[in-house]
Amino acid sequence: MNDRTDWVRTRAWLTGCSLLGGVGAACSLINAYPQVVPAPPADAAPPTPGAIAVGGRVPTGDAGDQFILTALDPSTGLEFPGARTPMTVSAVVYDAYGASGRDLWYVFESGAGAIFPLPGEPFFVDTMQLDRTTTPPANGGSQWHQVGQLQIPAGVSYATTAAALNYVAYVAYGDPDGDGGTGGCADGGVELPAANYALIVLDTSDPTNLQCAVVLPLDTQPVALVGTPPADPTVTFGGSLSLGYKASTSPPSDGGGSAGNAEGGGGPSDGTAPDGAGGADAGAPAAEDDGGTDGPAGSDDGSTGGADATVGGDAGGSDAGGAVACAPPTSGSIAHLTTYGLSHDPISNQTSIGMQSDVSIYYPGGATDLGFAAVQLDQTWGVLVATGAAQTGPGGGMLTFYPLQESSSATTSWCFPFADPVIKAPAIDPCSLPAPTAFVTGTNGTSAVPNQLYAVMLSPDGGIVAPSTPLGHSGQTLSFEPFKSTLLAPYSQEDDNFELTAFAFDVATLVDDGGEPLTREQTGTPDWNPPKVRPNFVATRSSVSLCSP
Amino acid sequence: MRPLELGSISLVLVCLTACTTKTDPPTFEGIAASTTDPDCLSATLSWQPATDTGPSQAHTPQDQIAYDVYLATAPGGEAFGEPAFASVTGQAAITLSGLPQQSVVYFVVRARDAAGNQDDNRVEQSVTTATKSFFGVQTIFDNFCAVVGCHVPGDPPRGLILSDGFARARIVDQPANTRLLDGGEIDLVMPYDADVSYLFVKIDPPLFEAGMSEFGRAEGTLMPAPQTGAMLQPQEIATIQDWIQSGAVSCPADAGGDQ
Repeated sequence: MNDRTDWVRTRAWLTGCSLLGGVGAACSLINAYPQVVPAPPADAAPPTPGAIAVGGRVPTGDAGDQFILTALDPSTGLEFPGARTPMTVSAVVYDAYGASGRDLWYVFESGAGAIFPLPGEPFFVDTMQLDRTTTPPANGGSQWHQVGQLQIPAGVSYATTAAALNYVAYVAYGDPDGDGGTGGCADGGVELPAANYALIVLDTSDPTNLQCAVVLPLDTQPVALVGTPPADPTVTFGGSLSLGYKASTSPPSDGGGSAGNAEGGGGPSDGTAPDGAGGADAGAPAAEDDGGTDGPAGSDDGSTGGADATVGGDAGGSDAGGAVACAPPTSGSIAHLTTYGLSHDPISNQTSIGMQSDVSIYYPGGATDLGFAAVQLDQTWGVLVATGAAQTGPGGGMLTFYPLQESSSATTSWCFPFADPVIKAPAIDPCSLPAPTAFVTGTNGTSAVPNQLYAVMLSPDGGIVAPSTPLGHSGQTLSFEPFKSTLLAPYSQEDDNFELTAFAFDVATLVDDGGEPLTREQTGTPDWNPPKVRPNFVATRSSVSLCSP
Repeated sequence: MRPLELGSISLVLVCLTACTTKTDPPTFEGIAASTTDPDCLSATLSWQPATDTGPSQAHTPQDQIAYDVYLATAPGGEAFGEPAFASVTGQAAITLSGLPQQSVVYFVVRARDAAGNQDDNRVEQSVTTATKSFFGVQTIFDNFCAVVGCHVPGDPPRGLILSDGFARARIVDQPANTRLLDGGEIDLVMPYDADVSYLFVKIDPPLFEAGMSEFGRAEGTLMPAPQTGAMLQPQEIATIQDWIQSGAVSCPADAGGDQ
């Protein structure tokens, strides 16, 4: 694997990347334009070495599995001695937008004995540091230190956790009966709203003393939460939180709006999801979505139209290196991306939240899934939305960029050959040049084509799609480790059927000759030898200075 | 009077000696009845209270006699060392939970006085535990289905969550959101009828093959998806089938997760 450490150290401060260890991975991109790069603080800490946090289970035979948090060396996959800590991890978020020298991981922890708590069950967020200084790397040691902890209302999913600047947010179960239930949050608890769900934002400016800053009621369940830092890099607090809602509604009768399909600024004012933006459990789509695309046609949900023209046809095939820019769909199923801005009043120390935009997202084929990730393109932060193949008609996947400013129109899309309707959230390499690269995979592929992994370079004027690489197992989540330029694909099934799979990413191969840029590391070799831990959740350290020129 | 008084003192001394050296156990007829909860892997054992005789200073009152329960998986197989369960003193019944599924479990109950003397009866009764507890089904879900990235909270395929605490309420009498050729609906789990329970159709190879034509539409793949490299074994399929055929009961009671 390539080691980026040397060239990384030559680069200056810019901004950050958040690589969440989950489907709702919030990844920021470091842009490649030095003129917008702030000078590094004089006392800026040197780049920290890479680290991979893993929340998982250790098989212990008849005694049952033990839930743990641990950390791995990205160079080898080896577990740092001393890093294994008993903990029922529900999600891990790296504080990638934090201030210089701040190196925090937010670990969501279930107190219920299972990684997915039920409403009302004990739930915590721990601010953790991975100490590699008091235990020198010379002996390979590392240790987790708990900096702070706060009991909070039970969270729904790892896919709805995200960081902003001095904030971490997640979606919690609400109190739909309105009986005054609390789930903890700061001293004395915070009363949950009389709603099905709540977006809870925690102020992390003092990592030893997290505070509930915002509790926003949500009627329907978002399937993703993406955090981005403030657009203005001089702002020290805030950013945006985007909630992704998947829907199974029929397309508009007029077949959709104009290209770009923006509804900037529209939507509800009460903080809830737009009408028609059904939650994940608000009526599963009629079409099967567990991997089969080879059955007879006849999806009965009436939502397969529209996207074929943009996704199919010349969607790229396997002709790596070819431009794959394509127009955003203007019809199909409708999802929503609802973005809120966070602001902080330093006088009152109060946080406020307001809706910035609500965007309709058209995507093909009713039962296809969506994946969301934060990305920065051409100096603009936004959300990259991945859509899987249609159940019927030409297959194809699409990545569409939705900036979070002004009209919020979709600006650019990239198409790539893809057969699986159940796509996962993209992972992002923010440092690849000339543009960031997104990695996508599905859940199970199809009966004809095993699950594939794609690398798509997000060049504004086109893009490059790499030949696909077999993932080798079902897709769970993807995370990108920037120090070693490694794509991580955890997989955890029954018995011994689990693996933390790693792929070395060589951007030069992608850019220069259009070859296969992803090379699977052979697990169990000196190059990649992770511990025997079922990897449920993976997150990576991604210093804000990584990609600065 | 003195001899009498002396005699009384002697009696008292005899009594005190007996009190401290009592070795005879309570009189106990052993277990009288055993029943199983049809929904749970549990058994309730009952008995007639034991009696303990002797001078009043030595015997153990009935409400202080304890009962020890010994288990075996074969007739007469109880090892009378450390009991598997001990009842609260004075009780005439005990409910045992967490018994192995689909097993015959044998019990002997013995009475124990306050001095630790235990009767030696070998009266044995047995129960046959059910196969239909949800425990076993949830274990299968946990291993094969409710894995991160699939049927867990968040954005699971078909919106179907099969995680512990969520699963049963999400599948029993819940629509599968698929349609038969005649336009009819099908539930994920229809109690007492596995063959028309969509969840079971999706995991049972013969039913799945038939279902492909019966439902007349793409039904995806047999679950777990072949690409996972995982495959349910026949006994695991049977466990789920038995549970549905037995009414898809819950044991213990649902913890919630109905949101």
